[in-house]
Amino acid sequence: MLYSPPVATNSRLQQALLAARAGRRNQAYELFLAEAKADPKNLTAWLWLGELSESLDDKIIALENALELNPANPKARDRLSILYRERDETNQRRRQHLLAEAQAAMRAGRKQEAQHLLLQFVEAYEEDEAAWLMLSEVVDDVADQIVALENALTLNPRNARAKARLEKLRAMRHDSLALGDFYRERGRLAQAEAAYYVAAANSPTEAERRHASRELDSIRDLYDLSGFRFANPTLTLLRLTLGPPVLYGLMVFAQSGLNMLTLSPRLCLAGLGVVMGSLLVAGASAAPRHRLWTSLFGSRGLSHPLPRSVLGMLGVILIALPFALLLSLAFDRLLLYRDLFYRNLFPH
Amino acid sequence: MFPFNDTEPNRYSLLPYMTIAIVLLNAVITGFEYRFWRTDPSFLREVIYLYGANPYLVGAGMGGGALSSLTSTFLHGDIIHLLGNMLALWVFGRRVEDACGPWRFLVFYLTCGLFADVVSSIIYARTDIPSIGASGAIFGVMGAYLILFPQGRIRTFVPIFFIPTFPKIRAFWVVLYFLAVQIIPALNVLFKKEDYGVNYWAHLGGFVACFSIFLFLRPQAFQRYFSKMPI
Repeated sequence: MLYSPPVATNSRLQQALLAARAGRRNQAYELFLAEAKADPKNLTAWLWLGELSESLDDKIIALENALELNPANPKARDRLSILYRERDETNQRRRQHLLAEAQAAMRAGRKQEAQHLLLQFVEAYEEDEAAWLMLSEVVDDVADQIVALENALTLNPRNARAKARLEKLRAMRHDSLALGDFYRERGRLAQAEAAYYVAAANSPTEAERRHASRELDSIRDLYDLSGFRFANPTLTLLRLTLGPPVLYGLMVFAQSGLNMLTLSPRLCLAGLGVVMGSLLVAGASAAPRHRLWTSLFGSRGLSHPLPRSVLGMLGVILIALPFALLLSLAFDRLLLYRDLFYRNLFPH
Repeated sequence: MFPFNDTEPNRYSLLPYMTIAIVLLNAVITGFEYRFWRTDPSFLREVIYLYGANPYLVGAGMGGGALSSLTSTFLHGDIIHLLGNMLALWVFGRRVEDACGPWRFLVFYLTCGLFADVVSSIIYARTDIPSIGASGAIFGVMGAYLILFPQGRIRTFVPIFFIPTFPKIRAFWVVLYFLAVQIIPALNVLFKKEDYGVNYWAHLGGFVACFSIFLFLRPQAFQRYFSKMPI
């Protein structure tokens, strides 16, 4: 014991004290509790309860009550400050553990579990900016993401990245088409359907209304089918990017006499153009609202017809130029062979 | 067994523009071959030697290289060769194009043709006889059809004791039949050095290239495939 509680005068206190000294903590606790309830101004009872209570919070409450009755008790004050420190340390440990668990769940792709843990976390520690930011990543609903980011920004208004994301989401909330695409990519068919429904009626351009109607039809087609697997937009972008480079690679391989060691560096370098062009075409045609485009061109990404057409055309040109270079080299060689062929230098 | 129609409807597009364009292009090129062949009988042989894929020249880094590999896919030796290939392209290409979209289908078709040509150039490395025809690319398209629509039904012409019948046969069996009839001659070419006048290894090469179809599928078709839904 860090301090000696005062000696009791009445019989219940005497019994409680005897029980405490005999090591019968539970009995002593019950007796002191009964005494404190009967006489809330009994300083001795509160001081003993501060020692005998099981939980840290109960000990603190008991000692706070004791200090309210006698603010000049230095031992109680010292004990209370030690308990406060202990409580802070325990809280800190719990907090770190919970956050680590949520991070692990996020990394493992268990979004639901991460969401559950983070909600628990922010309920207990609402002043944690990192937790709000993480929560904004795992919740699917745009409105929930906005709330999480707003809370993070209240705690740290200088977080530019969070601010930019918040602006994008707020803009998206008023753009039903973008909202529909956002939900559809995440497999939230009911919300996507609702957003496309609004977009099909209210979008400013005919092309956007048509797009929304088409998406609406395809969602209704899928809506009742359970187990539909949505492809990750990044996977779609990469998948569609790979096609033309594979064709180009085969052509370069044929051109270089099926020998990787004689590959022309010029043609290899031109292959980068095919990859870049293919990425632009795939992005413009199949993933116009991919994160890559929204980070470059704002929340609407490439969904606006003008940047989509421009980048799509640029992509086609970037693909066509290396193919043109390769075919012109092949054509030069063909002319040379043609010359030899007609001079009967090759068997035919 | 001659497949001549796929009985299932399209899902995404009304007409297979690219399949039709490839069929027309092949027909026009073969028409030109015949047109000039009639006035100059050596013309066809020259076209085949210059624009066909000659494995020896491809391996030696001579001749048209990538260009010949590409042009050989659009050349045919005679009308029967053209008709057989184009019929197969029409039967199997229509729905594969529907699942990819026209431009991606074109790149897929050429990729299969190029891969078939690379495989045949490796296997027949010492041969200087050029190979022509779209069959390598078409085997790729057939393979893609098998992957995407194994349950599709193909209307097929099967003469039984000179009596023509037109049963609808599962695509799985039709494609498997065409694949099976390539394997033994291909092995004979490899181990017994037999010469059939048909580039069986290009067919098998094209068929292997069919797995690249996953790089060309529309996002919706890709998702439907992995959700085990009809594409």
